[in-house]
Amino acid sequence: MLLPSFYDFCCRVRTLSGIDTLEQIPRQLARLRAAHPMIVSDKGVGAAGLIDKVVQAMGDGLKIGAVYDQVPVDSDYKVVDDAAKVYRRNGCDAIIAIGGGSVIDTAKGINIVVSLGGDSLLAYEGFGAVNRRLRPLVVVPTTAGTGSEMTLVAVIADPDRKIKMLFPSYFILPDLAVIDPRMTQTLPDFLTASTAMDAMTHACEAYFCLEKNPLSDSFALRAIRLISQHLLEVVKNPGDLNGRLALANASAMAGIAFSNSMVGMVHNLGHTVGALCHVPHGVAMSIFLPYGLAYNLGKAADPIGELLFPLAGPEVFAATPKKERPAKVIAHIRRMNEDLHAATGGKHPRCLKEVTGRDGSQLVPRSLLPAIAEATLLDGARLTNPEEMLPADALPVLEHAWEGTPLGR
Amino acid sequence: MQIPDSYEFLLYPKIVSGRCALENLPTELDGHNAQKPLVITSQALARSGRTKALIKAFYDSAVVIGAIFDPVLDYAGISQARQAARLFGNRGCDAIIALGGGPVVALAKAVNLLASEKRETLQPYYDGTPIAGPLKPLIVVPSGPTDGQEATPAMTVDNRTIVSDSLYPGVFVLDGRMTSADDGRDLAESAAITLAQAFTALTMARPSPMVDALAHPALALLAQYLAPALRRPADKTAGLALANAAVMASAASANTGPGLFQVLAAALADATGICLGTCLGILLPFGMAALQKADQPVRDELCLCLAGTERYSAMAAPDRPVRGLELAAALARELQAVLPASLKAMRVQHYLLEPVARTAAEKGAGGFTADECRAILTRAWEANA
Amino acid sequence: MHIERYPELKPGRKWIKRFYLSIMLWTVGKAIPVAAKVDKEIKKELDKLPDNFTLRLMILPERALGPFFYAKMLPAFVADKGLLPYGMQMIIHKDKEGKLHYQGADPRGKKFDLSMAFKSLEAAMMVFTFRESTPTGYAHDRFVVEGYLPYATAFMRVLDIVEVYLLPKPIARLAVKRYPKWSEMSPLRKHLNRLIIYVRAFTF
Ligand SMILES: [Fe+2]
Repeated sequence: MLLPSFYDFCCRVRTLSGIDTLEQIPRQLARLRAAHPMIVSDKGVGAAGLIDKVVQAMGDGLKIGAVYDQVPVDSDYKVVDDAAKVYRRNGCDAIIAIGGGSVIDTAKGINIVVSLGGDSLLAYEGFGAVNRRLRPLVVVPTTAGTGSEMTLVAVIADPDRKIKMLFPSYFILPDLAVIDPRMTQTLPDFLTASTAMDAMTHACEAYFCLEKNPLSDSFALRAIRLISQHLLEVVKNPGDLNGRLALANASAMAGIAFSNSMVGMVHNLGHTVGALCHVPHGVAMSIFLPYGLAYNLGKAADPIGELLFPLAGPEVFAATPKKERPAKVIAHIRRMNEDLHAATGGKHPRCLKEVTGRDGSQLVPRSLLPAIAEATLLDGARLTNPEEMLPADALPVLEHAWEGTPLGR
Repeated sequence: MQIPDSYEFLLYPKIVSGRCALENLPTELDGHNAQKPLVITSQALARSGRTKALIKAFYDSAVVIGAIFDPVLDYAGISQARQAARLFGNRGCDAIIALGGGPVVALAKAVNLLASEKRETLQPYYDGTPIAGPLKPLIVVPSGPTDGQEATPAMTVDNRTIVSDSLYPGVFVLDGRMTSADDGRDLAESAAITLAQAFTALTMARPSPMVDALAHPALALLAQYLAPALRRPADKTAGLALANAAVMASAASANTGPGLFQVLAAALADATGICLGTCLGILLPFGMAALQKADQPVRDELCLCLAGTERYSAMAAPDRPVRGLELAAALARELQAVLPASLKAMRVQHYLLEPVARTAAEKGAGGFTADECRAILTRAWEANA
Repeated sequence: MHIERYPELKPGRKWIKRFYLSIMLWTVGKAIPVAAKVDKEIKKELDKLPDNFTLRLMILPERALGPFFYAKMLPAFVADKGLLPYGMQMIIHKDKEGKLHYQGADPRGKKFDLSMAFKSLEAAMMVFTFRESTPTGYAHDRFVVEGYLPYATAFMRVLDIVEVYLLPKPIARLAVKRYPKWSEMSPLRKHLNRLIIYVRAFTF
């Protein structure tokens, strides 16, 4: 194990994992000296009955101050400010976020406003603005993928300026992450597939990108192993609680890994097609991951080859000569995408041209690829990618990913 | 890989490690809104000139060092804690930096408690009063020997231990200039503690994937860097790697609690006055051999961490648990090049073994029996693997 | 207890490193506006920044820079040399017409759209002595970015290209992630542009 010349690592989130952890939230909140939490969530989560499930599991242990379930898919600072008012009006003293990435980020934003004072999140934009301990924040993720429960940044949009604001601070880290498979049990198969592939991407990129370190490697390796062992099984058999628990654990561990080692070009491309064409994040991740691996072979062949160990298991790893491992890793990920495509009845797309919107129309027209390539330059994930990627380099990658053909080198 | 039905995990401290890590101290303080730290360190470290490098790290920053409190020897006591807490108040400090390990960090935790909560004594906490609020930021810069308690929520002052989440240090800053060892004996003792903690984490009965993930690099770094460090204690790379391993293992032990080895070694240290690291160094090789014969195989993870993916994959699957234990025992035997080989060589009276075994079994609360302890002690006494 | 035994310690200054870094910042600051005129690539990157935009590169965050009080009493031309308490800053302004100006090191009265601040003097030394490339420096958290991150990535790309121009190849290779290949930057163009940048940036 190589010790890098420099690294830092921080993940001070208490993690509770298991099939009965929701019940422990009141006790843990008492430990954090809070008894009057506000629940933050979105309509979809509410409709799936997950908020009720949490409330029921928590029992009479505490009094819920308010329920704010209006978080939209693309949350912005106005939602945050609005929710902060609800929090204050009801005299809440903690937040329980139940949902996916958007809900969790919004909850982090609300926590900034209600803890540090003021009316608007806008006052806390930029580095170093959040420099005090915040109120208790409990996160109950309902997708096994984003890993937001473990990240120290909140990404919240400003629709007026049309930008995404970043709020990076160690104080934003939630106090408690509650991983309970009951929360992901009802997730539809294609969402299970794409969110898990998002986690897979977090772990893979954490493993081969520039900020890798022994701890992030170790978490990433275990996350990859869990996903490759359980994902297909869970997609085929959604009620598999043990598998769900494994995926949720993997998502959290991948979150720990990439929060400390950053992501690379797969996220760079993914963020860009997400912003320009509204391709869901997890879908973009599963499509771009094999290309991100292939593109970085020049600079990071060794770590990429090592991924074969958690992906395919020790036997395959030992049987494959070192030189052939990177290619096999890429083939393995492609194979996973194919299998998921088959297992979801075609709902898990394998290439960009297969990505469709609700109405069945193609989300990424081929003609848009040059514009996408140009826009990749504006994303921060570009910096931590091992290999330089300029728009001229991104275009062929995008074209191959659109067609679904392997990247030739 | 099996996920347990339920587990709880926390890795509280942030780790900053590597080139120029010391120069990150002003930024870390700034991140906690602190500008005036009190530095607590030991006489030995002050004499070795390590404090000078620390002072230099604050050049060109706005941080004023409130004072460098450096009379700490190898014992953390309340009177020194009180002195330092008064100094903290007098100078208007707002953070604590502990430069050192073991008693220095314990003392720093105590000073933080006294100063933040404005108290003169720790007695209420021994009696069970909970610690009220978040304490002042505490940053640890490891240097010299460790006692394995640094990255845990526990502190031992005047031989009494208080455990509270508020006591966790916020940041560990590991820098090669500070972590290289002055002598091989200290280094081996620290390594024995690290090895025991990581080993416990990877062999415990109810595994958690996150504890595994945390202990894995600790053990891997130990396996890779212990030999070069023992050969040349001043080696900066190896020293930094072992210090990393120590923090990770210590943080892992905060999640696992003490295992057989720590409990047994603590009982032995209590009874004989030999330091904990030496006790562990003597016990580990024999104890690991004992586990090998037990009917319940250890998990493959131990082997994975020690052998690395390449060698692990090349092994036949059924051999992995045993090979893991063998590798661990081999690593422990490396320590014997520096540490005494047996309890007999340390002039431990044989009649002491029986009460030590019983105390340990009692403290272990059913995790293991007095017979097991006695067997390990007897073998360690005669140096009979 | 004798409290005097444990004196208070005020931070000292590393003058030589400060001097070196000031020179580096000044050099890069002077070179960027000129390079933007000469090099299409740089121009394209800087076009991504909105007009009327001020950015700065600084070593040590502003509030960590001790005695402002004295600095305010100094005439601007002294404070501007970068050696004095305003410390080491490099301010570049893009005006309404999209032209770039190097504005020295004096932050007074300016509003910054983008700030990149090195966390410590030593962190800046790592990057400006090319022991760590700009991306590695970013990965190692040697500096923090305040402002819209996409602009920062564009600016870091500009820094990369300027370094290729200013530095001899063996050193520039350390400083950037990928040294431009033949196809991307022809030697003729490089040397010609390099000459122009040197002459125009440092003759007046
Ligand atoms: Fe992602």
